[in-house]
Amino acid sequence: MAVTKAKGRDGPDFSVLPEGCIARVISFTSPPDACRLASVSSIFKSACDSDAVWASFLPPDWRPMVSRSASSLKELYFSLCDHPVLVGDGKMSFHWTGTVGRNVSFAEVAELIKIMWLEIRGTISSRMLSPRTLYAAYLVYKLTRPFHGFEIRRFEVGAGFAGDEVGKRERDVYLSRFKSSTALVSRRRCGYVPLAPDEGDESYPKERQDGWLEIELGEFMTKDGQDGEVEMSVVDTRNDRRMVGLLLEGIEIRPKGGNRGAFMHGMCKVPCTVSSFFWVCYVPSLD
Amino acid sequence: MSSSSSSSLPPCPKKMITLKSSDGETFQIEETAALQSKTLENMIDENCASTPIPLRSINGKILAKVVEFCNKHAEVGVDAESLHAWDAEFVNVEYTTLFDYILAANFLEIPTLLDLASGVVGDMIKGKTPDEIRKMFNINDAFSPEEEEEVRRANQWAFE
Repeated sequence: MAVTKAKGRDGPDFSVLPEGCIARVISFTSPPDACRLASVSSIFKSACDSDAVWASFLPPDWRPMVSRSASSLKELYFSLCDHPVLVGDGKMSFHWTGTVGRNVSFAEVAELIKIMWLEIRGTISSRMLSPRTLYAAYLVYKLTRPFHGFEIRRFEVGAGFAGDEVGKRERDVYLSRFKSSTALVSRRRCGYVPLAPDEGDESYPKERQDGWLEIELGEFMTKDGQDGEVEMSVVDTRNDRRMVGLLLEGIEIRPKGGNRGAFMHGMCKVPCTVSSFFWVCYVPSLD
Repeated sequence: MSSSSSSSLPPCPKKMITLKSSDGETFQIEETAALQSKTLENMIDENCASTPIPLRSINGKILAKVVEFCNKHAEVGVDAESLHAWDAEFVNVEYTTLFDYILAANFLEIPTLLDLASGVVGDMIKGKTPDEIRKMFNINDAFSPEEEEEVRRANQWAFE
């Protein structure tokens, strides 16, 4: 194979860079890129497989959460993907067990560090709720700095009984009140400009006393002895821009209008399924 | 013009060190700016910086830019926004120059410059196919088709 004709030094030459520098460059891409680019050449392959690259794709503080052995960080990344902590093949699906209560512990939240699209669905049987009560469902989350990409995305949210298309009202909301200004050059410096929606504009989230943000997904009225599934959803499937820095606590249901006798002193957390094309995400393990 | 003991000297003379490029050009850089480079910092600590420091892998054109970068990043009172814009302009150059920046930053261990230049190249190769990358960068030492198929299979996830 005598292909070394040196077909003109007309372009840039990646081979001047040592493997460590190529790895540095690749760490600024994404896991799918790092896998795809491994077949460029042998030096790319060893750079793409290196721990330096995969360390940059894991959450910064993954160490204390993970107590499993892997021969490389790439293997570790995918082993996390196969375990519900990070779920592989570009999609993830995990479940919150129906934990109930007001104390939020970090062991129960999921952080989606870089995502392209997001779909969160939760269902709960109305038998678990008080009858004749007006409830509302809320998505509870935080934006972790440097977050961006949320202020321009309209999420379709809804809540209501399964099959009751009339009663289910869907609407569009934004998950951030802040416009972020970033450029590709510096991912560490990021400024935020507050948008100024009208007070009480329900298309924007509210900050709760516990520091989390919440956005109402919709409301529904339970009846006497009614058996049914209440469905809640947050959907955004456009794939054109990434979002960075979503920390999800879950969907919460509580009665509207201060019905104190209602279920569980007023709130419960709904088991959810989250589907997302992610670059980096993790759900801390519970052990 | 640094003759004998003239009357009014600035209170604290700036410590300068001299760098010498592969093609023999010399550059003066203030020690405070040079400290952004771990390599130079080590040399300063070991008192090896009193004579011109030869940098055999960096030519004059690139060394001039590196010195400019270090000076800018050592300036006091530059707000983040304008430094950001300055950085963006600094790396608005051809690939070959970006590679030279990466090599120089790697050799001199200047993490800010290394990340800046690597980030730009990283953004450029994002989403590209291996073929596109090979064309873009004249990479000739490709795998044999069988080897490539094997690497592809091991990384199937990314091709779906």
